[in-house]
Amino acid sequence: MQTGKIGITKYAQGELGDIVHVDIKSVGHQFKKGEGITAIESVKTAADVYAPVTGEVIAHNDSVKGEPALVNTDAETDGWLVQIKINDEKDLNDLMDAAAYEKFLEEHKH
Amino acid sequence: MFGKSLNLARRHFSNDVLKRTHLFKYHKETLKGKMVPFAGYEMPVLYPEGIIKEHLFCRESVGLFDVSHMGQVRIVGKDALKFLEHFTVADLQSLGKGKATLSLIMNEKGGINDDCIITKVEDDSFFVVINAGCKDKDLEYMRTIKGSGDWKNKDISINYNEDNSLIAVQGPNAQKLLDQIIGTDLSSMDFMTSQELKYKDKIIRVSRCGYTGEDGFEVSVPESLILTFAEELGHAKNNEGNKVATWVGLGARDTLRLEAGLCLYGHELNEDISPIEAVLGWTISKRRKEQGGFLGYETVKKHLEQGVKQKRSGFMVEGPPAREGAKIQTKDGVQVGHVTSGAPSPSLKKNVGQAYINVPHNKLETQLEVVIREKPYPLTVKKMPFVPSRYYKKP
Repeated sequence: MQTGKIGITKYAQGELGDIVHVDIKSVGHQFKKGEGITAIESVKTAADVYAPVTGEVIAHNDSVKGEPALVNTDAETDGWLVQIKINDEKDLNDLMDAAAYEKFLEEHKH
Repeated sequence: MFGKSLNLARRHFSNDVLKRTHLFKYHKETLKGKMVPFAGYEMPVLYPEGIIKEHLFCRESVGLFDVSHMGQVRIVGKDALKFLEHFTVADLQSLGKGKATLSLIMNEKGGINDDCIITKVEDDSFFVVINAGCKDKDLEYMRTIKGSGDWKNKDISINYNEDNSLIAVQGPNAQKLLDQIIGTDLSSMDFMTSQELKYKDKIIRVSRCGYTGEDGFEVSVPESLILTFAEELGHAKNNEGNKVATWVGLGARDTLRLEAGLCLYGHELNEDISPIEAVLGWTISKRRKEQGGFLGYETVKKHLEQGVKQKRSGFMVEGPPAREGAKIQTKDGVQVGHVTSGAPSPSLKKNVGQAYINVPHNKLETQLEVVIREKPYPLTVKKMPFVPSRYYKKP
């Protein structure tokens, strides 16, 4: 079984600001690529985290639920949100890797 | 306010030219503020410290806010008082010279077109500060009234000033900081009073008022001095060598006013909400309640006599913050209200907000539910302000 952990990027946490609450779909929840699987609340706004692939929720990051600010400090490491089972590995081919993402950010900077 | 609507605003304005305050470059390049479109302006929503730290620093010492996007209007003339009393609820006859009051610009239906601060400079001269998002509409409204009926022949002039910046200096150390920078002693100045002072040989208008629940001032400064003024405020140090003030963006401006139980136009107030529904009846004096003489008086009178169906209320929610538009219901699932503003309170570490709730469910401590992402969470109707206000009373 192929699994993965989903979080938001360092850039995304910076856009949201101080994060105060995360609301993750229950373990066992099945979702399609593009559906919201977690809601993140910062002081100023609420944002959805969309599933990058089709799959099922298998675990939550309990540390983040207890201390949502972990998403601000360690977005791409300890601040992950949800662990999922990936239904079809082919979905992964559509995603950017870290280098491509950096390039994407650079190009969209204004 | 800064949630989905902000993203929409960003898209909406992306092809339009956004206006900038005189401090734009300073916010963006020196203070590294994150600039976002707001009410047609490109404004700082937060600085690198972030909303929570900015918020707490304002409650603890001083927060600095560039509110130059707000409209500063002078209404002058022998008939200016009557003119203002025609479309606002203010009692300007009994307002003393140099005193300021929160007031409401009314429409004929009894709804609120805008909230504003009116200062009586002289018996025939008034300084009015209106909301950024409403200022074009307000000015047009005032000019339309002035051009109609008998008002045409009256002595009234409406002067809109875009040259002066407006800086809010808010927090328990605000007076000390301004005393030091202007070289004066403002301790004899009461809350909701206003005066002109000299700063580096230029006239500035200092009003003791604000939008945070703290003591504080709003200072109208000519363009030529604004950068110097901003730098002096931001660079000031206390005896221990620590900074006295920090810059605060729109994000913390919203959480501060929310904790203070203050209304934000377009959220708690709009053209269909009456002052009585908004629980702003206290802005209407006894004379004006009895005599009326302002636009929309019939509705206000009816609401005073017969009561209203819904009222602006404060609430706390257990669970995630309840944002604007969230449905409020009884435990049986009957809708009895909707959220108009909501955010985590940095001072209380609780999720607070304001809502319109149907009478009698608006009674303090009533237990209701709020629906967030299709799930109900417990909501309790609470007294406002959430954080006690500390407005200055002169000794």
